[in-house]
Amino acid sequence: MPHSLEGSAKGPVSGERGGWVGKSVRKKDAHRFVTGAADYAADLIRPGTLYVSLLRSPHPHALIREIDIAQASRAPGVVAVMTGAGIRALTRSMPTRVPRERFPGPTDVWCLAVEEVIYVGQPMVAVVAERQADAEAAKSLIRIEYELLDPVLEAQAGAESISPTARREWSTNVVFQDKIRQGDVDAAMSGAHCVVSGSMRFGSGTSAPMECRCYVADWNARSGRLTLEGTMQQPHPTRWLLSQALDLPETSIRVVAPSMGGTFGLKMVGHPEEVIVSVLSRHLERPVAFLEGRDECFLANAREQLHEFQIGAQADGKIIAFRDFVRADVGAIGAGGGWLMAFVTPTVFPTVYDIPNVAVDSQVVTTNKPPWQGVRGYGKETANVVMERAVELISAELGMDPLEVRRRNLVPGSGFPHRLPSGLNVDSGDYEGALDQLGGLFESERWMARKATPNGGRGIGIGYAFELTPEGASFPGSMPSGFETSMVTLDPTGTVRVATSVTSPGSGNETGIAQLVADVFGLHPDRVTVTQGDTDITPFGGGNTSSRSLMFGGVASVLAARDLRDRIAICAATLLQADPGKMEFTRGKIAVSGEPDRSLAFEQAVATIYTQAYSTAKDVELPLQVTRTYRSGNVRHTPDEWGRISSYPSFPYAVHAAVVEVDTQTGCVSVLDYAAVHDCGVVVNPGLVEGQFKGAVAMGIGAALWEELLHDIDGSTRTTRLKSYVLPRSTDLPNFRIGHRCTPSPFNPLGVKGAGESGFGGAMAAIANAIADALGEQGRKLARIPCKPEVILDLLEGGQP
Amino acid sequence: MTEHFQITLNGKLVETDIDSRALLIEVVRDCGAKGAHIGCLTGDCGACSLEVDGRLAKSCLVLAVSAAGREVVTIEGSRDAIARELQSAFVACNGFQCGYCTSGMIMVAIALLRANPSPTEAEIRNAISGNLCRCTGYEDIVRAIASAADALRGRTFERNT
Repeated sequence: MPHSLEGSAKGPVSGERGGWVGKSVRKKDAHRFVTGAADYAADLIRPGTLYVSLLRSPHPHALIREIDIAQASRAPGVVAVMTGAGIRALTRSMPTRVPRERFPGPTDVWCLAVEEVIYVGQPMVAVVAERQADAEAAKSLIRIEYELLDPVLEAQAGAESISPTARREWSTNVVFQDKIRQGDVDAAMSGAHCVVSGSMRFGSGTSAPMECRCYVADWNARSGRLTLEGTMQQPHPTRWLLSQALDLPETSIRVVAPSMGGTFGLKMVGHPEEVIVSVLSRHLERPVAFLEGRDECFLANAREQLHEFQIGAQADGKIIAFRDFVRADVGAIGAGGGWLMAFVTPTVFPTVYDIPNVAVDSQVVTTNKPPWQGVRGYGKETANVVMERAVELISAELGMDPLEVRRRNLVPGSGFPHRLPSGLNVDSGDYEGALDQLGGLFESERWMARKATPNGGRGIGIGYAFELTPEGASFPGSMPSGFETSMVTLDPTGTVRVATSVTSPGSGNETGIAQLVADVFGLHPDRVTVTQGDTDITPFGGGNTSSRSLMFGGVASVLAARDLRDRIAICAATLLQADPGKMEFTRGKIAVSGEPDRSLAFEQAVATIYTQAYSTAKDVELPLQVTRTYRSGNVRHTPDEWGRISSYPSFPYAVHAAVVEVDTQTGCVSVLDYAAVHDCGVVVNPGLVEGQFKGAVAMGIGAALWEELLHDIDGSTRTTRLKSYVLPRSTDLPNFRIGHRCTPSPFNPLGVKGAGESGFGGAMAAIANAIADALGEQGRKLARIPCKPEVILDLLEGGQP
Repeated sequence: MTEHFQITLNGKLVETDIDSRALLIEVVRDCGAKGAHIGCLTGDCGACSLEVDGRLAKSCLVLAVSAAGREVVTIEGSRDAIARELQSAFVACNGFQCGYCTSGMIMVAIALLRANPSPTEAEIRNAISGNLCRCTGYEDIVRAIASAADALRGRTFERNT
């Protein structure tokens, strides 16, 4: 073989000529985004499209006795009014990911409620009209009689056997329980020099992308084919879902995802509206659009967890035991996989620390609140916050510098791969090196001096945090279970087309893929086009989740490109009268190694293959199109000797330092300074990766300080606008100083690890630690995130929020 | 109820019948200027920012009928030197990721640089504080606007010497 299929981990880039990998190449099609020419889903709605508006349940739990749609059906502009009963005759239920072997169910989920509603905001009736305003106006004419049922609105009570259940037919609200064990925690705790306990309650949060969801379905009655365009980060899984819900073969469905205005997990598969517009379009034989309102976008819970933890250490600062109990309130069970975030949290402990005795118990409880939807962090962020608070508390108890305690307990650089108690196999890292590097980036002495200066009711706090963010989720039983596919094609003029299953939510992975493929052929990235988000054109895969785009989609593209390069090399070698193993692809030319004068243009070799298929190129396999899939070598679905599997292949990490100022009169927090060191292995495009990381830090600061979905006692979401769900604004954030390290993943052919989620959990933890530091002795009781002013004032008054 | 409606949109006279309930952002988008985006319809995010008679406006807070007869400019119609410099600076500085907030951000930045060719970082952050970005953490947006201001000043300096 002239070229190895597996790049070496240490020098994955240098093997390829051209060297675009590692450069901050500008995002592909960037001009379209700054001139307003990029098409987002709502921009593609054609004249003649109908609009659907959804009447949603006002009750957390009720039986629907009667629905009167007569008046609404006659309202101006209304074309159709569809109830759950009507939908049931036209569709099947949506597939869910809840494990039947653990939760008895039933878990059939319908896109419109049938008989029973189980959260405030659940779609009940779809009104279709010529105009959006007509559809919305007609909703007020629908009359519904309910029989109210007892709701479950709190997880702890809901977990008890005497609790009413969130669905009438269920026997329990406990969806899932798990135990993770390593060593003997009880014995270690009783032998420890000191033991500290604490708790942490996380409020509900959501991703709140700037673009709300939008779906446009167009049923073509002549061809019997459905096209669904919209905000979907997982086009192939959505096609799979529609195939089942609509009882249509996959060949009759095309799912297209145009440019996306951010997602951060929200636009994963499983929203009822994906099915609603599709079935309505098929039923009415007209295109039907759903435009989500911002208030509806907030019907997406996540992260609501209570942790009760205990940590024990020896007198020298060595942590010997950690235990945690986590209970998650995942809201109602929908068709999406958001509740899986609660399953991920316990698997991350004890993050970057080498702790011999660990016990984590978890309980996932369903309630009558809106279902969880995916959000950046995906459950890993809460584990990191809890771990970092525990380390701070034990350091205070020991009377030691928390950075020194961290240093003594980090998994050493020589300790990889490192198996976590959950079975996850941490690929590589250099935690101590990152901590040293942070010391050069963050002016701790300046801030320590400022902290020591009295400042009239304003307390300075300095917080540090490590984060471990497992990436590349590959869960058994998921559709799909963690692989991505790319097809690379060489056209007659030598242009390169990549069609890949991974999608871009705006992160720029298409640019990274173009760089990777350009290097294989020695071409400029502009000669590589990357097509994503169209199930008719792109091969099968999961899409954009869990920072998988380059570590799966990028690798699949490179593998396919290398196969093609080998074919081109055969033809070039014939033309140059040389050994195919000696062909070098660089700067648009193919040359004999060490003899740059013996060369030809890349496109000449390609054209020869197309035109001389029976002579010069008769040994070259056609077509010039290769499809390759990448599956990670660091995912294990067969249980090990302790019965544990490993569903994440990649383990980027970071260490953060934050400085906050707490106004002790108002409880308001300002972030004064921020620095972090981030390691995601080999970086393909530093500018884009740093952009992702800074965005994640900003989001983590928001989640730590301001962002919280609040619910009234009747289960309705109170935070329905961006005025009440408070995102960070430009004046709320400092500039961030970011350092990078590179420990390539030995399990990935390109040495890359996931990038995109890292930064989020570490920022939450660093901010929480900084606030606790600012509050001194009172800060040790910090047990609530986000740290909104009332939480801080309660702490200062000595209360337990 | 529909009303006859007329505006100048990006330099072209547009006449159409509109729903009297419609917001300016909705009508502008229906007339083809899709570069202005809808993020909230409550005036919180600024993705719909555009110019009405030379003044910056969040067009989701404007009833379309109240803008009848006026001159509306969106990102598509912003082609002067300030706009072009900002557009290249947003590309060069990674001043966007998903791009959804970008046209609003650039419209605000155009208004800022017209009024204040040498803004400080704090002035830039204040100017865009009514516009939300969920991707970048703002730093690269601020850097893009500052770098466009630098480039424009350099150009003015060259012209004057």
